[in-house]
Amino acid sequence: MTRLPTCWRLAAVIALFIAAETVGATIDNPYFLHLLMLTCIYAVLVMSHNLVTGYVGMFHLCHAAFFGIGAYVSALASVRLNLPVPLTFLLGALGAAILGLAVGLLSVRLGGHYFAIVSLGVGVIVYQVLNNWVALTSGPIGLSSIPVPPEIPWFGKSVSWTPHVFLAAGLTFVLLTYLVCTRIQDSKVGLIMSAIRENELAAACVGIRTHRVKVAAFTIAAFLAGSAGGMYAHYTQMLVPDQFSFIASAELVAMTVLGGLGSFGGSIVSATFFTIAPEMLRVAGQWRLEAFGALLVIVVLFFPRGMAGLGALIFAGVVRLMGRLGLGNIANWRAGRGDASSI
Amino acid sequence: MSVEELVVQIFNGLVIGSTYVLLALGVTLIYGLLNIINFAHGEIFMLGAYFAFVCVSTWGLNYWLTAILVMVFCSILYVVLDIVAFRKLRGFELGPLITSIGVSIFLQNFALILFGGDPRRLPTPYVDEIISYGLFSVSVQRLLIIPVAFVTIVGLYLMIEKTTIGRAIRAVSQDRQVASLMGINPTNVIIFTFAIAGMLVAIPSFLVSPVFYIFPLMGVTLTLKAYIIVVMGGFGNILGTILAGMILGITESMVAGFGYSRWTDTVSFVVLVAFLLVRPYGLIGERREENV
Repeated sequence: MTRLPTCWRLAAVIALFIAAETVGATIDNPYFLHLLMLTCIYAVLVMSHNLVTGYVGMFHLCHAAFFGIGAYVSALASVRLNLPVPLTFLLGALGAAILGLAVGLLSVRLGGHYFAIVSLGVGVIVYQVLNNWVALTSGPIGLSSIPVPPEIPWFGKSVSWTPHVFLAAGLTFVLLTYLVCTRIQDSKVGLIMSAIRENELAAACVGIRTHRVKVAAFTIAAFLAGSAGGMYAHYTQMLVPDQFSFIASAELVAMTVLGGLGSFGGSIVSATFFTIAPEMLRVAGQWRLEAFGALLVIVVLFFPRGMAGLGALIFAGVVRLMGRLGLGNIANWRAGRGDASSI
Repeated sequence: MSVEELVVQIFNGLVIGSTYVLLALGVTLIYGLLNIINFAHGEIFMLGAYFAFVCVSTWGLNYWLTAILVMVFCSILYVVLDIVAFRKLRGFELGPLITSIGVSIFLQNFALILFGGDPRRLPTPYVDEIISYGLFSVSVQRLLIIPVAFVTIVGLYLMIEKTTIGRAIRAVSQDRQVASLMGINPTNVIIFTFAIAGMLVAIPSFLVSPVFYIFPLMGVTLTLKAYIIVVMGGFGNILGTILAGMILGITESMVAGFGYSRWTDTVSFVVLVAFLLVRPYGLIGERREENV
């Protein structure tokens, strides 16, 4: 698979980020702003899910639970305990990370399918607690009037949290998550992770402490998902347990797979696509979930590398074309790191 | 809780448990054969129940004729599911799991579009027939599932242990390649097993849908319950599955009986997680080491 070297990739990502920030600042349509903000939150969720499911190869079904824990802990701490929002945000992320650590420590020794089932159980338990512990979470009615973060001082003025500021923060959050994930991917730990994905037994035989790496990856992913939850809670200012059910986890799995397992850029594209496309397809009404399910099957069967695979194919084509046109030395980017996206 | 109430709750537990056991046996069969986790299991159940509803309410068919039709319908559905979603992914661990999630989302919304979200109830002649004994009274419909489950399980056991096709299924689950060297056609055996799994799902779907409601999302919880039982009983262990199903059914109805019916699912999943941590090889299975 042809890939850009790291510094070029970083430059491209930063340029994209600045472009996105500029575009975001010029949009006036509040509905579209809202969609973009949701895209940011989903992008973080899908990337963190991809880190564990796609990159380490630990398929799990409780990502929406981490999202929910982050959202509810942050919201409850600010509503019931009146803690300042930046602190509650951190608490939410930590809460999710602690849950991730606990689940990881307890169940990482179980094999692939068993791990999937335990995570499924955890997801359902979290959802049921959110839904049924009415005294704490208000149950199915949901939590409302969650405070927005306090105004931020900015060169003597104070900036309040308008949708534009939220979007700017959201995009920054996506950038940070992307950098964290790719940094892990490019490091020695990333190599260890792909070794675990390809063959855990063989990795253990060459002296890698596979359990440790897996627990660490799971905890990091939970932390990221929890912080996405905190962001979501204070952005929408209301939470309903249904957003964090098994179905939500399954949708995250779908987005990850469609974006390409192990590809974080693909995750962002897929999160964008699946937040915005359904809105464009409003006319299709109920049929869009139908299409979602069918698409998932088709992609796994025929395009197992998802959108990232498609992107890589196009990129390789462009490189080859450039080589034909005599731009060979530019086309000589081959940082062959193996195929990062097999199921 | 009085003794009568206790008996009623245990009886309800057996009814629920029998349903769960039949669901879980289908899951175990497929897992044993192909090592895949199939999340669309409950959706087949749901479609079977809706099909029964259409047969009885719209076409006005006899209940027992409906039963046969539902069994055929579910078998065909399961074989089609295998051909569409699993066949191309033999040998992959997680591919079939993901496609089955896709199929499950697809079928839920399909049912939602076709039948709407309102819960339905399958009308049968046995719902209103009540047998009473002192304080203890029960409808024939509820009573029916226990003997039917018993007969089905015994039949399945005999088929797997005593017949040629059963031996072929066991051979293919042990080693598909060697089995095909011995003159067994694995493709046919797999199709047959999926058809059997469809029948096993169909039986509870027409038996309990008169008692409980039919709605498009009913399959999700049922799939999850089936997997709890399969894990508790040990994958591929029929006796363990039966035991686990009954324990889970009785536990759930006890939790409901004490007035915590909203928490039954939570309790089941806590039991599942605890089980996996303490005895991941199942209730009566033995520990197996991984071969290099």
